Amino acid sequence: MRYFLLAAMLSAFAMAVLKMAGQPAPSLFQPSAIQAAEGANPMFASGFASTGKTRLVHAPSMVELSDGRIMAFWFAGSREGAADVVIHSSVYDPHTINWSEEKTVTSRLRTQTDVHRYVRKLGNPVPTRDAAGKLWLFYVSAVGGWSTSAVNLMTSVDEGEHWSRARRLVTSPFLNFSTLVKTPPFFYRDGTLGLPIYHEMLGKFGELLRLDKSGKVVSKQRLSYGRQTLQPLLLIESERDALALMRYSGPHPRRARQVASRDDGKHWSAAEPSELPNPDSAMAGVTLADGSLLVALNHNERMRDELSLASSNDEGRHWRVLYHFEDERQLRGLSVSPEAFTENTMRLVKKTDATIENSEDYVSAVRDTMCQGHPCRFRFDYPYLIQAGSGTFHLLYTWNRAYIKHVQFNQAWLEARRSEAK
Amino acid sequence: MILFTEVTGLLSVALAVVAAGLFAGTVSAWKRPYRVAALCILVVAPLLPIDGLSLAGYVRGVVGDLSITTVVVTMLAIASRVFHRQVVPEKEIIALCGLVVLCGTIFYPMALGATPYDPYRMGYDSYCLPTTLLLLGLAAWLKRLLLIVSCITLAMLAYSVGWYASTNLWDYLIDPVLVVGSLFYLLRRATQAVMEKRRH
Repeated sequence: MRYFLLAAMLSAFAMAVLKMAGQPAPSLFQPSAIQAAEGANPMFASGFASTGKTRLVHAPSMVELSDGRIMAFWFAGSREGAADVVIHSSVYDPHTINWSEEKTVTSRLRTQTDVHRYVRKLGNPVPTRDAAGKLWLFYVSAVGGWSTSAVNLMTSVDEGEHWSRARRLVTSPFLNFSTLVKTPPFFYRDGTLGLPIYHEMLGKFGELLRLDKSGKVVSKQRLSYGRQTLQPLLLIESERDALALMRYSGPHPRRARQVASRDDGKHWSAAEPSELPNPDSAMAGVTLADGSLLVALNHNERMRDELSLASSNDEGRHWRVLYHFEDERQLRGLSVSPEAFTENTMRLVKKTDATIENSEDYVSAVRDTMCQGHPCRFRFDYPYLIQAGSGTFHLLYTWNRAYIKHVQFNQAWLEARRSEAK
Repeated sequence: MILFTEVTGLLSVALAVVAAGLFAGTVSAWKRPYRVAALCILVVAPLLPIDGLSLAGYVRGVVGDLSITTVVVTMLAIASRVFHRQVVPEKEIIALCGLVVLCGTIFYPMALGATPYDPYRMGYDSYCLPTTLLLLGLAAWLKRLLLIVSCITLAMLAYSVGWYASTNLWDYLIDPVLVVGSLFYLLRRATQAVMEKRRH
């Protein structure tokens, strides 16, 4: 018996080592291949992607489909963390300039059935599309507070018409608690996928998962540690170079943290303050064809009442603000009367989409989400920025927690803003 | 079609629910046929759906899939409770529990971000972990602590064949439920030893 056990242990060791040897070797980053469309006239447009069907919408994200349409996802329900929160999707057609009807991709109960375990609430969805055209949708679910979150994965081979059963990713040794997603995945040269994640139980720090083509986790890497950094935004600059910006939840001065890798992600520098002020809120960004970086964020240390576009031409060392998508800082500290708040909301609705004739529904929805238990205030957060194959940039963000706002602009518009900012 | 790894995960939790059920009451004092009947009921009960989800599914939502070591220890506990058989000498159980508590005390704070280094990462693709396990297993084998050898062997085997959804070897070796259970077991044994000493 004793010698049989010894033989079994040696065999098990050999099998485990063989399995590890079969894991994908390290690979270079796959930088974006999107080239800027030249010669076009400046274009900037905005509208609402969601229709106000639910009281709360939050954490939008999106992916470009094979025909150039944009498929967006967000979570929607009566309030954040409620059992009725579901993941919605809608498709934007750049030819008709319309968003489709909102569809429910998955719910708490469907996720629970799929993963064969209790789920209390759903959270951030994050999609991507692989080289074979398959859509991957990662989304957060939790059994308690957000620190008990785990990540689920669904896939679609028909452009989001139908989705596979969700599968739970195992990413943490402590009851598989505390893994969340917010920022876009990226690909390595060998087709494996990099998924920026973050942890927020006891500590708060950014991490990077690597998944093989079948969606199995093959490695995990820490981008920071401690209690103050989260939601890493990976900006791939070249096959070997990447910058990760992270939301910072520590004491003032509040500056986004950044880490960098110059060896295709094998090693990352220690987290240090960037030049970007940020009030502990989510950021979004892309790397442009010329290597410059473009980031959408709340560019101030205090509140989410403004949302800006900032650019860096020197790998994140210095940043310039190019544009304010929203800016309601003039209302800070003021006791805004209900009438004044309504008036301001109507102005913002018209600014978003001048064709909206009846803005009362919007005003009512915003008052419902932004005037509960405290003075009314505006909130623009959780941006998600992509560059489509045509070169057009698409930005989605949560607009007062009641709507998802869509902004699009092209390279010519961006160049004009850059010239102005010089 | 339910995935194989969902079945194995649910079974690991169901087993723990069975053990909890057997230890909760006075089952041990019942006659053997009643104990076996209780075992059969407790094996089936956690898998029956309640409002679309089994009891094991509800528990699994919180504890996740339990490690192979937990499964082995749970089966031994069930055997002792139902069949009144101490399959493994107590010193081996104490050695395993001690090892688990020591490992968990170092591993979890680091894995939860207390240090820049994350030992959990080793479980994906570092030969260091299976090599360390082999050395540990050989030391245990020489000391005739065969329970530790069995747990290490079964964990590495289960990892190799993809028994659970996890692709990390650590998840097959240890889990927080096991660490807490081992700590309670050691504390209880220590208390009993102190009481006995006082009596003498």
